[in-house]
Amino acid sequence: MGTPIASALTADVATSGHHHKGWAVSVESVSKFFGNGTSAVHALEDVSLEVGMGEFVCLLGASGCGKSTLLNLIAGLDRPTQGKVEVRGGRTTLMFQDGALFPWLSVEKNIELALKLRKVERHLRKETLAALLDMVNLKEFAKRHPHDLSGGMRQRVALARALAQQAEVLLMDEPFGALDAMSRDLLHEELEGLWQNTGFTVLFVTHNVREAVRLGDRVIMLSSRPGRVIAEFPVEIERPRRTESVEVGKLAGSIMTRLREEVRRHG
Amino acid sequence: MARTDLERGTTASRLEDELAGLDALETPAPEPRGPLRRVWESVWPPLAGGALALAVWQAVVLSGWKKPWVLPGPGAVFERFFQDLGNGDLLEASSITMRRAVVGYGLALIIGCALGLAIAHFGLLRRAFGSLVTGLQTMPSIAWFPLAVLLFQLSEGAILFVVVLGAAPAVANGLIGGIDHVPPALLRAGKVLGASGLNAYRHVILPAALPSFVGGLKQAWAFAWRSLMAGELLGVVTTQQSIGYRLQISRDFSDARGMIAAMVLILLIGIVVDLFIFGKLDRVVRRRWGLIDPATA
Repeated sequence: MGTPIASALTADVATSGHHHKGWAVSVESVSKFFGNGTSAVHALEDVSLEVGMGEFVCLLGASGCGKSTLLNLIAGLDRPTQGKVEVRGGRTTLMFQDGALFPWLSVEKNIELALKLRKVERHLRKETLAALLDMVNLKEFAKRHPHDLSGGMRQRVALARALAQQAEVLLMDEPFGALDAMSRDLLHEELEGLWQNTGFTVLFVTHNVREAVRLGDRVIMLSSRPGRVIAEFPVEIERPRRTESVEVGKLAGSIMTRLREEVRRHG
Repeated sequence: MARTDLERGTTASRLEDELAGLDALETPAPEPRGPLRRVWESVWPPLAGGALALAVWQAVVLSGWKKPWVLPGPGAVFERFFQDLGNGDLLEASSITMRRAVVGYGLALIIGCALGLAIAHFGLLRRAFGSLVTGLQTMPSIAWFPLAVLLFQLSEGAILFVVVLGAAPAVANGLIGGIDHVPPALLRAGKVLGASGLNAYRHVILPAALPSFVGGLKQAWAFAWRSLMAGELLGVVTTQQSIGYRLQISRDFSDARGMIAAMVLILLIGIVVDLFIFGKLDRVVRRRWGLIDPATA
């Protein structure tokens, strides 16, 4: 168990994801404008939220709610116009909807690049790489290139690459939005398993209500244009959950009703 | 719903099996065609095309449109071609010409890369020189020769000057185009992974720009080859028997067979370099980058 990933795996198994030792991400009265003058777009308005250490939070909203903007702010790719974003739970990493893998690198080189850029030594890299490929069940496809893989497999590579950064906070921007139902279902299970075993913090953006209920400890709903936090739903359904289960369906139904109200407002 | 370790274990292996099954279903099976068949499929169309072109040439000669000493047929030309090849004349001419091509192309490569990188990276340089570089590319290289001869007299330098001026803008433009069109998603991914400054260029921007850069290299070769032939044909350097110079001498002596044999050589070198160096490079890069459908490649 000499590898960083493997030791992370064992260290946190005892304290599975549900122990919230304070917040990992804190967003305080954040507003974001793009452009200026009369043509400025108001993307986020006075958004405040906290994500607990080791918590799995889903951000839900219709189009134009500034979900991606918020993730960019937390990832440090952009700065808020007003307010404060703090990450206390360590490093963040961001996973995109299309995976954004480098097409010229094989699966293993894509993951290894993350290690290389973190300046992990060569002999450690190999071990860690093997552990990561094993975690996402892609050992046999290590030498393939992204364009030889299905969408679901590419997202698993992207997940392994994100985990390779040893980030404690995983920001996910509709990562399974483009997948077929079957792949998505399996990836939900895989992500949930990894999260339970390693105890990282997840902020997961989606527009799919059932997906949010399937995965989250909490679902936070954003309004559209500008994005504001309008509702919050704790999800108290026991894990492992199934997307098609009655409990998930029931909660998803009531969240959907609220979301539709919000969309009607723009009609 | 308390679960035992055993159940947990079976859940994990069930998930693994399901993932493996779906992966196998979703990755394409290897191509059934054999290697010999593939070689044949890529070889016969150009061979047939070449044969057709020769047939048309022969038909024009047979029609009696021009006297055979003005327009000889393919048989006579190829006889002369192999004769000049056999006595070493064409080989010597090729080596002189190719040496110039390699030196000129190499210089154009270095200058074009430096220029392209600088223009792509610095906004002010781009605004100042961007359209000038594109403009240079459209300038017929032959128009540079009078100036080149004034600057360098009738020398190797004059030829080199024009070859570099012809090819370097194409190299630079290929690089600039590639860097400009790096998908923003990859730039963001690089940023998230912590690639900044030189690392961003090394790991993200330059590899992403490579397909367009290879396109520029290919185009630059065509420009360099044309400029070189123009220079040799103009008789800028007459002390050495280059290919272009042979062409010119043959015309002066009304030696149509020798002239067309030299033309055949020019065409062959152009095709070989384009097909086997740049064409191959282009295919390898595009396949590796996932830009061609493997089924049709």
